[in-house]
Amino acid sequence: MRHVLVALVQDEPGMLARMGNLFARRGYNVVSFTAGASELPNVTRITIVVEGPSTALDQVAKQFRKLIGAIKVADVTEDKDQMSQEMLLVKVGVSAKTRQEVVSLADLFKARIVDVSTTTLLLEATGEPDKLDKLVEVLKPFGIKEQARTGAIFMGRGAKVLNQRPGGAADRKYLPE
Amino acid sequence: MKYTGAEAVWECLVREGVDIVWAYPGGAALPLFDALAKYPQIHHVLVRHEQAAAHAADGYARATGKVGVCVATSGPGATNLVTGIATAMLDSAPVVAITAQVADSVIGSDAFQEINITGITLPITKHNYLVRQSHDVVRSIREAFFLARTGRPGPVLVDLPKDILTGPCDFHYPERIVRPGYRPVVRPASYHLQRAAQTIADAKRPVILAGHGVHVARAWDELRRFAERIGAPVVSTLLGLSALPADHPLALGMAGMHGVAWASLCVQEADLLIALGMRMDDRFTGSLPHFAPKAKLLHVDIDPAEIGKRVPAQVPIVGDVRLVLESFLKDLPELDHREWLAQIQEYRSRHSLDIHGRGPLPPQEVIEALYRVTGGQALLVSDVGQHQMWVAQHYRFQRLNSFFTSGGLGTMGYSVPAAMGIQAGHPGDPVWVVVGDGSFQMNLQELATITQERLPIKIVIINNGYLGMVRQWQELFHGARYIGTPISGPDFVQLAASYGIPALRVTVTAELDAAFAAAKAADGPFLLDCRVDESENVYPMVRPGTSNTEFVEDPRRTAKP
Repeated sequence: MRHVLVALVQDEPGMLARMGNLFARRGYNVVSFTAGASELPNVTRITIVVEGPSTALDQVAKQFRKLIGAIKVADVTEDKDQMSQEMLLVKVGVSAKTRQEVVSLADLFKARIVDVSTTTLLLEATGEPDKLDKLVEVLKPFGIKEQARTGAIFMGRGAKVLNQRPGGAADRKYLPE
Repeated sequence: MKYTGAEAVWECLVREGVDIVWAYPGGAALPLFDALAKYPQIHHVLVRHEQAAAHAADGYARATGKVGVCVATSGPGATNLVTGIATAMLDSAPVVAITAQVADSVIGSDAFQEINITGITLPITKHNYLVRQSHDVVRSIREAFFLARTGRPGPVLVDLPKDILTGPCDFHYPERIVRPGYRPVVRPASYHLQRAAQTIADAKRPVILAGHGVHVARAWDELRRFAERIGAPVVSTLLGLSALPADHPLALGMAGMHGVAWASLCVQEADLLIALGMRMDDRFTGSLPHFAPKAKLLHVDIDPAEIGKRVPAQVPIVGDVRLVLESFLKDLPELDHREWLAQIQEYRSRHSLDIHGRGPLPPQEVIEALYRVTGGQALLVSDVGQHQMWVAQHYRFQRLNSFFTSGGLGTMGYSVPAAMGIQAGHPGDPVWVVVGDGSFQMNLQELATITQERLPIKIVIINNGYLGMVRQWQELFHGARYIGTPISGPDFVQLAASYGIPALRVTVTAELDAAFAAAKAADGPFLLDCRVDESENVYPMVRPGTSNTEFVEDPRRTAKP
């Protein structure tokens, strides 16, 4: 089954390798992995979509939380309030005959045509991953020359935020030393 | 105050209370060693192989509860630490490994003795650091100690490039450590505690499982009082041995693949398992679908990832074992499980652990003799293999936290170097090593370190000319084809002599007590080469993948009613 983990991690060297190692070690198939700046300084927001059994994912999430530098790890798979967005660039082969047909399909999916050559059209689309899947599906018959996807990013609707308690909590408070 | 990077490292160690480091120098590490001259309060032990430095630091840490420190140079120095670091990781020992690295300017160029040690140790450390800037030296070392000893302890590695060691370094020792997201739950949630107390009060056949976490949390007293309060027997994991004195009426010893039969049966028949700081290792549980089928599991661990990892827990408690037990002691009245204890007593007499050794010197008799001469009070270090299991079965640990062995990783060669750390941590106490002839040959170079440091360690070699545990599996599961397991060795008595260590050879049971008495009486180290029969197997044994009730007992034993 497909699972989504959203995480806040400290932006420091080796963090990516630590996360990669975790998924590789537990035999997880990573469908997509995105990383980028969050609202907090020096904190990266990660979205990982993985394929694997639920019991093992529970273990991966726990192991993920154990990584030093992981501030928050949430499994949002079951969370209905999440919205997701992904960006797609796809280069479709066209002839004079088929070009118009691809343009109208692009319109239908609210995709933008960002580059044109005599034999290709380059489309850019943003949306739910499912919608992008469908766009790719209908473009296939024309011949997809090249395709790149960013991987999905997720965010909960409403006022709730992932980082309820901001990072920086002094560890000392929780530890008898 | 201005220091060099190397001086800053030692300044940090002094502030962390470190008074001994296990180290081996090399090109990139030169500045560290050079600066060490200014720090006479830190005793530096030159080991003979970096693996031993890591094991010694690990042994020191387990025996004292303080962080053990090992130091190695770049490249091969660092990679030689790997097995020792992994051993510490699997057994949650707080170790800080400091490695030197080639100069920052040449990192990534495959320079002489350059290796990406943070990459190599990524999966076998709790955390690691490659310091790229001099202002990160102090913070990294400070954090390394903090991370190594807090929460679930583990090894942390700090890699320091040579130019950072030689360059100037601002020294400001941070009081507070800010590691967002690192919040080990030490105090258990009261809701879970209340549920747990009720579950314990309702149980008819409760069993306490004592793991290594009892030692880590230093919860020995609480464990004993808790067991007495609820009248429940205590079964140990391999690393949980010596958490309760073996002569305590509620102490049952170790369960599992080579556990004593009555302990395994008791786990299988229990209606409640109270697991304290243990991780349900496969060697302990046997086949999971058959494991303790009638029992609920109340699982206490400071690491949430251990709860439910292998066996689902009906009552999970994340927290420090000692604090959890303290709370139980507040909440729970005296409970009585007399019938259950009587039933266990019956298992015990029906499946008693008799010795039916072969030949003039059965290996189990060696362990019994060791018990007699030490009164169960030794700090006992065992290596890995058959002799390790005989120790676990036959040595009755009377002293708390007195058993040290590589449990999770099963590292052959652990015992001799680990004993150096244990002896250094407890200078006046008797430290005994029990080691097979195979394991001994993996790190025997450390005899030189033992002599150099005048460590009065007593080494007992269970010498059968075989890699005995593997031989046993070949006998049972591979048609008795002994491939790669017969192992020759030097004359260990002469070998010891050449290191200046007195030694004796023992070949018959009758000689045992005198030989052990001589070893005990010696001021310094001593070695006993015990020639035992190679065909001896460890019983009882649970075949891998089968239930712990299906243990195979010694075929020579006479069935009891």
